[in-house]
Amino acid sequence: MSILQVENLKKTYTTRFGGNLVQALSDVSFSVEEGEYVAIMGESGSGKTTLLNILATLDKPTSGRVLLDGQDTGHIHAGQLAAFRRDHLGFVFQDFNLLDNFSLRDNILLPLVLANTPVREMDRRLPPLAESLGLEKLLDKFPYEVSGGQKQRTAVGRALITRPRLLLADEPTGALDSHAADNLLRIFDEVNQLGQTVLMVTHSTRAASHAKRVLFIKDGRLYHQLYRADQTPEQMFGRISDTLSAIAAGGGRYE
Amino acid sequence: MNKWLYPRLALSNLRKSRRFVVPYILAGGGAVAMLYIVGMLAMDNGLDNMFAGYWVSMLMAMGLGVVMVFGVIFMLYINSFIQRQRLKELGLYAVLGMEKRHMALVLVSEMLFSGLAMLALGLAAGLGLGKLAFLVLLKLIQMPVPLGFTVSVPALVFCTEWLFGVLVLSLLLNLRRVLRADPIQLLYQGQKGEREPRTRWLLVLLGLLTMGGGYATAWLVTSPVALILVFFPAAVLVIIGTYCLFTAGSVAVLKALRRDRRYYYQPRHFITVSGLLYRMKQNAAGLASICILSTMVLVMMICTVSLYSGVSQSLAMRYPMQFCGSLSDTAPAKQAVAESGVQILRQYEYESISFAGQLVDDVLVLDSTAGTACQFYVVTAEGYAGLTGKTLTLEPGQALFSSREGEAWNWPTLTIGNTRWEIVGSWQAPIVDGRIYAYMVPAYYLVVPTRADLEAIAQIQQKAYGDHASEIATVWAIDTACTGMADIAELKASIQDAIQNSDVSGWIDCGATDRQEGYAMYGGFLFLGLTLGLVFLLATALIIYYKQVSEGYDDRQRFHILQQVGMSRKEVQATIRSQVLTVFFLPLITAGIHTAAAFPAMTRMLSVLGIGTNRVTLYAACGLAAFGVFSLIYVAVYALTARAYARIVG
Repeated sequence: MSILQVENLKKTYTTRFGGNLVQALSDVSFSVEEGEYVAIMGESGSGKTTLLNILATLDKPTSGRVLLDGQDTGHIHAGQLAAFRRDHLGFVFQDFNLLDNFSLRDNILLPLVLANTPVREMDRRLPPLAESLGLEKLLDKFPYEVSGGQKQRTAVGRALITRPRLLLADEPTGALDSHAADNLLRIFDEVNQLGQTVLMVTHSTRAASHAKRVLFIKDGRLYHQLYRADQTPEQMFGRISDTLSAIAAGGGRYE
Repeated sequence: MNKWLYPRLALSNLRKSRRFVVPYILAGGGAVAMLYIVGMLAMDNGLDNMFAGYWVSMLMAMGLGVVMVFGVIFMLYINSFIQRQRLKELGLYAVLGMEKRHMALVLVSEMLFSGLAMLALGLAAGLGLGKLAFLVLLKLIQMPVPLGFTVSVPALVFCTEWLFGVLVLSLLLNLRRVLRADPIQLLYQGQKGEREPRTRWLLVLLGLLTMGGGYATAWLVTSPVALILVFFPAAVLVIIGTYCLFTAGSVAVLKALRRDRRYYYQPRHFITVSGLLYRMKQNAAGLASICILSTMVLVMMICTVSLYSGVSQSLAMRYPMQFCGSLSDTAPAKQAVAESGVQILRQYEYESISFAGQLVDDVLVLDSTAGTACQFYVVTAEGYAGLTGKTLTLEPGQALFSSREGEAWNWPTLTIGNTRWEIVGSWQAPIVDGRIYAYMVPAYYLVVPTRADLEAIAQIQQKAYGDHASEIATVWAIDTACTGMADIAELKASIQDAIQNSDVSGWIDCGATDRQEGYAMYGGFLFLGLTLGLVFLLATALIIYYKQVSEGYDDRQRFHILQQVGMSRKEVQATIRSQVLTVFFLPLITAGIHTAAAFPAMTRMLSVLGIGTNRVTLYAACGLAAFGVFSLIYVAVYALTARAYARIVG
């Protein structure tokens, strides 16, 4: 069953002066199945951030619709949007977006606190999650006291503690060194194996090669997609590189 | 390059940072207006020519000094605040290749534009409100309004020079900062990681001790004289305590709240407690200053308003007649009045002796310190007739009793020395000699049958006090047809000359001129109190505004993250409101508590200055009114600030 269905998504921006129309997304349709791990690749300006913002309900499409578990996110009342995000989606950002004045523990618990979760429930959820992220000894530290990789793992913890239907990641390895990036991708693999649906936007081939399916986006259109099937990430890495070269060479749609 | 580029750049900079610049210009304009008004009153010769006007001019000159110095400090503070916000912008210019002299040009142009705006605004407001302020002052010191009103040129020059000096000083400081710094440093300043504040228990303890000590002093010391000595040290203790508790105490409380997990892990508390914890680290000292400044405003308001309203009442009691004297012989004074040709409308004359003693039950003791101190006025039956216009027949050994406060004599007799007087009744004397209100101790009147009795009492008193004894004197009080203050002053001088040139002993004072001097003094105080109160209040409000707005920029990122993580706009706004409210009203509430704690001590000290009766309710009313007005203005600033903050954060 599809967790996420994206149908004919279109997004047009009007520039501030002169009224030029800029088409960020021209016609995007795809779906994500339960338990999938999908990477969306594209260069800067390809429209992938716009797409992610619409999926995250932070932005609205000009036309087309997004169904999450069959519910049209465009029809959610504005007052309910925040609660919807909190209950159904988890976010991981490139620059972590942790709050400096909270310990790692409180950063992870933040969405639960906002959802008025009882303290008992927090106590039940936090320890196993912290352990799987390798953060159990760091919970009382503050963001400025830990490394980038640890910060990003904290952000993953914050995204996962609500047990979201869909984990959205925006360039999650962008600010990490290669060691920390590998560590984070391994964590994504693990949570996906446990059944978590993951949708990641990236332009890192290495990050994308961990996904089960890679969608390529260019000039606001879906361009191509690759399935990993039973290939290793290394083999997948090669195929993605080839595809990117082909796209960059400016060839027509190939498949 | 276009020579207008830099001025244009400066103008657009000012427009872009209007959230900071507009209040700065208002503050500068306000300072100029205030300096013009106070300066006009201090330097205007019109006031000097009025009776007792020199005193008001002197008070205003003092006020001018305070406003001037405070204004400089305050303008420099705001300037440094604005510049700190702009470091990044200036850094960007440097990276883009703007040379330092060009940046200096931009800064100079900016300051020039701001300065012109301040001057225009300030002078317009000053000239417009100057007349009103002058009328208010005249009303307060109860003087007639002179015709015509001119612009005070010295004040104009003075406040323009002041503004020029302050802005040049600010500009030099800004230039120094820009010319010394390197671009990268400018770009990244203000982005340093913040550590969580530690709880400093020693400071908490010190704060509790000093604050408690200050409060205890205010409550426990009951003697007004001792209070005047300890009030200032107690105030210093409370100030130290306020700083300690705002800095260390707030962190201790917030950390305790954070440890209570049930309380802490609720949406509103979660964000607010941790937000405040950091905010306190940066702002505790600022908030404590605001609190102390507010307390000073409140105390000043209460004192000046109480003094004025208390004294204007007391002055009428203290000086019921135009002239009142106590003389060994009234002839020279009478002659002086007669020679001046002024008509006497009302006149009282009687013999009296006044002396202090100690009452032990129904015995007045003169040579001991036991018993209740009191002041006695003794007059004869003849004097009684002179005072009341009624005849009175007293048998030998009989006396009438009366007291200032109207209480009755509870014993059948009163013993003075070896004479026992039988108290046969009481009387209500019209009080023409207001000196009776000058005594802190109870004051009593006694009517004895004859002058021989008066002399006997005088002798008893002579024996006890020797050189310090009082003499029998004639009290002479008149109201004349004279109304102009200058004419009255002239008459007073001629009467006093006449007394000095004769061998008459005693004194005569002119109620009319003394009363006017009293009004000038306390009215001037009140006006000064109101002016300084207004200045400090507006300064406080502006400090808070700047703090809040600059924090808005820091908090924007945080609230953005919170919205991404699933906090709704409405929740964000509610959280903002509760945070801003706390920061805003913590100093106000603490200032209220401080003032309330100082209140008993203040009333005790004021009762020394106020004359006679107890006026606690009056002081309390003044206090509440001052607090009310203060809170009202405070709330208005809060509303403005909260809006600006929400707009930045949202």
